[in-house]
Amino acid sequence: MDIPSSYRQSSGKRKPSKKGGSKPQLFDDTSQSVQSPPPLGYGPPQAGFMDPSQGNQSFGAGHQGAPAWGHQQFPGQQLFNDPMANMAMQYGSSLAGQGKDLVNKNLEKYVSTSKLKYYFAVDTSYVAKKLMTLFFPFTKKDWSIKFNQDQPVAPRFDENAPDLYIPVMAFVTYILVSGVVLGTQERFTPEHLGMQASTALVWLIIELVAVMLSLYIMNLTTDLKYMDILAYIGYKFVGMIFILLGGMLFQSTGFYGLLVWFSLTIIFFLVRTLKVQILPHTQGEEHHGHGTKRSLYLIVTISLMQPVLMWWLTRHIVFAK
Amino acid sequence: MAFGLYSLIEAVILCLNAVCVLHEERFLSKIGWGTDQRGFGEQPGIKTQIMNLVRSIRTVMRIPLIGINVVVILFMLVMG
Repeated sequence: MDIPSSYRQSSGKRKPSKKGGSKPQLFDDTSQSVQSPPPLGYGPPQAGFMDPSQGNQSFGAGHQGAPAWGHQQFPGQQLFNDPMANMAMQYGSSLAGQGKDLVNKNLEKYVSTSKLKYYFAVDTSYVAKKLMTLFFPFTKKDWSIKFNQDQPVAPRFDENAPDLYIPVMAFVTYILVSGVVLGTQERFTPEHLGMQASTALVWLIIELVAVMLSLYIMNLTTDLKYMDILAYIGYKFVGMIFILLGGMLFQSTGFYGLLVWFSLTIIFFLVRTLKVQILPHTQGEEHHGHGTKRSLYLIVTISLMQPVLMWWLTRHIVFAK
Repeated sequence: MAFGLYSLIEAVILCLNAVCVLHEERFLSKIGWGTDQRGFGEQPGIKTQIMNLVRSIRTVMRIPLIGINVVVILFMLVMG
């Protein structure tokens, strides 16, 4: 019974807007007809949609009760177009709403869009702090995540929370910078951008799947969602941008110098961050040595993979074969 | 460096095929990776988890892989 009432309201609203120019007295009529009790013959819009004559009759009966309807000589013809159009629109919009709900629900199941927005809740001071941490993490003292870990933490409120804003922006910038570097070497073609994006994305997916698989196989219980892992392994693109720029400006000296520096920083950053994320839950349960040792191995492996991938994804851009 | 998304899909399909090919009685139980040697109540180790994974992949992907393989083979025959 939800749909007919909203339909009635919308038809009452729409009528004056359509016909108000020629017959201004219809304003009063429609307001009265809205206040009048709902006519019995309304039914769901689907029934009216399938049988236009029936819907039309019910409409005429409903509105003829209003005193100053102005077009009583042709009630059927006058009412045929407008209510039917409204009804069809209502029906269509309800269908579209159902479809949207369905899409949202299915999207929610796979991507969890409501959680996704937390990863982009950043502000300028957070981004500045995080970038400073990525450039020079060695003096940072506090690595703990302060908020409750059951629900995602907006990075705006906690600078140690993972975000996806910096990785996504760094990824796009990496693609564009690689285009610039290729352009300075006179080997830029538009296809290169797509190839770089595809290659970097593939390695990112492989790394993500490898981390998720090893988390499963080693039977480590963590609060890390795959979005968190994606964020942590995406931070390496920040360093790769500068490695590319260093390689462009200072050739191999700049390339290797910056590669070493950013390798050290990303290893330090990831070890400190993941230690907070993975370790406490194995300590919280009854202490068995395997769990902590395994998760330490995993953290070190993830961290040591980053420099290799950074080198692998920038080497072929800076140095022509 | 042409390791794009299509190559990734191919690689994933090949890996899934490789897992599905492993036979329970003829191969896995002979090297001690069968399903039956498992105790309740103890923390599942790495081997158990891998066996779980292999068995789940075989259960879930066996039927869809037939269709996927046919499509990919036809695609590669046409496109070269």
